[in-house]
Amino acid sequence: MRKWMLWSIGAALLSFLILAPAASAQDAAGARAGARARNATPPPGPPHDPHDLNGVWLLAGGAGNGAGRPRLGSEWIQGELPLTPAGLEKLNGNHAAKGPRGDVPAKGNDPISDANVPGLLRTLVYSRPFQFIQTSDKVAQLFEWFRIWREIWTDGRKMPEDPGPRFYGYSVAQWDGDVLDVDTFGLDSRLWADEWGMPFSENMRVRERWHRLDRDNLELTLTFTDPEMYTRPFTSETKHFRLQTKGMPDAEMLEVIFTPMDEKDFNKTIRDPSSLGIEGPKSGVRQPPQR
Amino acid sequence: MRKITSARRASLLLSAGLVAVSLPVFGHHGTGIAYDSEKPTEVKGTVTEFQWLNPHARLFIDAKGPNGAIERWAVEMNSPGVMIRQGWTRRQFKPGDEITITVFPAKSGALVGSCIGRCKVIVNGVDNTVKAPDGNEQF
Repeated sequence: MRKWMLWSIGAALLSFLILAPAASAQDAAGARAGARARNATPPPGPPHDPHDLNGVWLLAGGAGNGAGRPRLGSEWIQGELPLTPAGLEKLNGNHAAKGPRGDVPAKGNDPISDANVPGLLRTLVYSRPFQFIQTSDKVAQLFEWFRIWREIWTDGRKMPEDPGPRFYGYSVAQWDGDVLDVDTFGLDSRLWADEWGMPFSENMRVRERWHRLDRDNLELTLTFTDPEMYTRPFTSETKHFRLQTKGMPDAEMLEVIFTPMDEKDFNKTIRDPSSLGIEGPKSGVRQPPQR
Repeated sequence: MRKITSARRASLLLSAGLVAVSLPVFGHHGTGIAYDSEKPTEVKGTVTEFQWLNPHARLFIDAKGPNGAIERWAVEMNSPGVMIRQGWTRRQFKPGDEITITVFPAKSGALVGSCIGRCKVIVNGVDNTVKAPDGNEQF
C-alpha cells in the first residue's frame, strides 16, 4: 500500500511539475512559464522496448495563449511559418480565437465552433489523452478528443495514390531503428493544423516520427511538406508525451464528443454574448448607470 | 469491493489536487480572449440551471444587481471532461442553490463570466473552490 501511495504522489508531483507552470499562462509571465513547460524535457523513466508504443499518452504542456509567439506562428514551431503568398492568404482567412492572432470567438471561423471534428494534426497538438494499440499489421490510435480513432498501417502497404480527403488522413509506417516513421497524406484541408489557424493544402504530406524513449516518455516530431502553402519543408519542435497509468486522472479516457446541438446552444448562451455584448437567451447586459 | 483506506484516499486527493492545479493549461478552442482576466467579479445569487455539456459546462445565476434588480448571469466553466478530473460532478449545482462565485467578466459588457480552472465558488455556504494540496485556493 505504501508503494501505491508513493507512486500516486510521485505521479501527481510529476504531473504538477510538468504542467503547472503553463497553467498560469494568462499573462506574460505565465506565457513564459508555459513556453518553458512545453520545451522542458520530462524526467526519464525505466527502460522499455522502444518498438512497443502501447499505452495511454498525454501531451506534456499545452497550447498556451500564444503570448510572445510570432503573429505568423503555429503551435507546432517556435518561429514563423515559412508561408507562400497562398499560405499567407489562407492563414489570414483563418480567424482563430486563440494564439497570437486571436480575436473574440464570435468573430472567428474556427471549424470546431460548429462542432466539426478537429482532425489529425490539431488533435495531436492538443493536450488530451490518446491510446496506442499495436497489432501485427497496424497501430490504432484512439483519441479521447471527439472519441475518434485512426489507423497507421504497418503491414508494408504503399500509400494509395489518392487517399483523401480524410479528416484524419491515411497513414502508412515502418520502423526506422527505434522510431516509428509514419507517412500521412490525404488530409482534408478545410480543417486547421492547430488551434491558431495554421493552414495546409490537400497535397500536404506529413512525416510523423514517434520515438518511445523509455517506459514513461514518448516523443513526436512532424515534418510538413506542402509546396502550395509553405516555401520549404519544415520540422516541428519535439512534442513530449507522458505515459498515463492506472490511477492517474488521464489514464481512463472519457467521452468527449462535441455535437451540433450542444455547440449551437453554447454559441447562443455563451460565445456570442461574451464576444459581441448582446443579450443571450439566459443572460442580460449590464446597463450603464442613468444620469 | 475494496475499502479505500484513509491513507489511500489522502494520496488520491493529493494526486487529484496536484493535477487540478495544472489543468487550466488545457485551454479550449473557446472564449478566453473574450474575458477580462484583470477584473475578477463576485456574482452572488441563486442558481437557475446547470448544463453539464460540451464544449464547456455553463451555469446560470439570478443575481441581485447594484440597483436591486435581478441580473441574469451566464457563467462559462470548463469542459465536463476536465471538470471530472478536477473532482466536479454534473450534480455540482442545482436550481435553487445559493451561490457566490467569482468570475472574469466578458469584456463586451454582457452578463457572462468565465470560471475556468481558477475561480472561487461557494455553494449553500460550502466552499467548492478547487484547492491546491497546501490548501491555497487556485484563484
